[in-house]
Amino acid sequence: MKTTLSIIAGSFLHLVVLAAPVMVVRSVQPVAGDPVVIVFLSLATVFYLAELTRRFYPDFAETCPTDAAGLRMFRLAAATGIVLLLLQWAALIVSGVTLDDALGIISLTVGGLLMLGGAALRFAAIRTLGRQFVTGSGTTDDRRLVTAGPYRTVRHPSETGLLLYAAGASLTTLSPVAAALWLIALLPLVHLRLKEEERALIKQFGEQYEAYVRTTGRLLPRIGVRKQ
Amino acid sequence: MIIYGTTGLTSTKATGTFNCPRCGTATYQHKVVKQWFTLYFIPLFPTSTVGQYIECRQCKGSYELSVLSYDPDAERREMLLQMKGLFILVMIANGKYHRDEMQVICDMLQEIFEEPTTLEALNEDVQLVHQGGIELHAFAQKAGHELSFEGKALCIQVAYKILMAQGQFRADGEEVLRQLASGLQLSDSQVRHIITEAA
Repeated sequence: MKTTLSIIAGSFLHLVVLAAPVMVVRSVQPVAGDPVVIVFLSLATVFYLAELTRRFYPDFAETCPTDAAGLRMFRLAAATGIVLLLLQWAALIVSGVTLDDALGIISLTVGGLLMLGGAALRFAAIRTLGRQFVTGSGTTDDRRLVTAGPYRTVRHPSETGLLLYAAGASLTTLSPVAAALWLIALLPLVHLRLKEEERALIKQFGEQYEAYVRTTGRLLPRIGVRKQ
Repeated sequence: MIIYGTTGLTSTKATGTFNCPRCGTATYQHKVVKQWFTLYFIPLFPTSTVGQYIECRQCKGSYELSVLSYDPDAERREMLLQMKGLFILVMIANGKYHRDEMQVICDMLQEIFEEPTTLEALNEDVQLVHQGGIELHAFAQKAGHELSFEGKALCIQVAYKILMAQGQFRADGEEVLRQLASGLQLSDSQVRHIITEAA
């Protein structure tokens, strides 16, 4: 019961954080009656609930980083989180989409599918990795290299999911500001994080990870490579 | 997690002056660490208090809250009483005591604690200890809990000097040292090493 209540409360708080600035800028009534905004916020809630999967692994491996590399990763993760929030605000505030024309319907549909797909991919990644899914440095002592499920296709499916979701968010409302944030802020941040992460993974797993790199794409599937 | 998570944030609850164990009288900050629920890494509200500690603003040392009641003068007085009691018990272990032994105790109290003690004042303390019927081993055990290894080594060294006060090692000296060492939880080899170093 307590878990359900905290999930509901968390989801509501997340909605408030996303919607409040938009309602201040665009005022409440237009926003509350806008189907694009309603669809967007619903999909954002789905993404939030997908993230919530992590809390159901009681032996949560994440600890506060104290080493330089861990702190760097944590700061990059924090920057990514903030950029994602800004991107969603931008998508909601600077929305040029209406459902009166075909473009609006197509962008909402495609964008919505990308958001859903991103959430699903992230959910699958968290489920597969289990307690080893950490935001900070990926060098907990008991980690093992996971290459099953979505990790069979790409090395970082959770980041692919994040980028898909954010791209979908920009497309749903055809927001140029959100699209710019995706391109010039989110993508480079994810790239930096993955560079740090892979440095740590090579250090931990050595040749095993290097072989994995040769056969599996980082964010997109590697075409034409036969897996054993 | 990117969307939600928790983070520890430290705030200052109070400030004041205290006796820092490392640098003496200094100003302190009472720090409280709380866990905050975050959305997109932005702290929204605190969920629990993780811990509290005292930070010295001078040496940046961190201490438990009990350090605020640390009184070095009181601690010094307590240490003086403990050690004086131990020295007296070593001296009267064979049921008698000599002026030379008392002089050694007075000299050592002056040297260690800068506490001038007359033979007459010490004699009064000796009578009190004698009347109390305290046993050396038990007293040493109790005192040993509060002493560091250096403190214990000092007790052994002073005890040895007391037992040598009359020019030669007292007949019961070995037994007295053994009782003292046992109470302070020091091994025979440690005691031998301490005495050799002192010599």
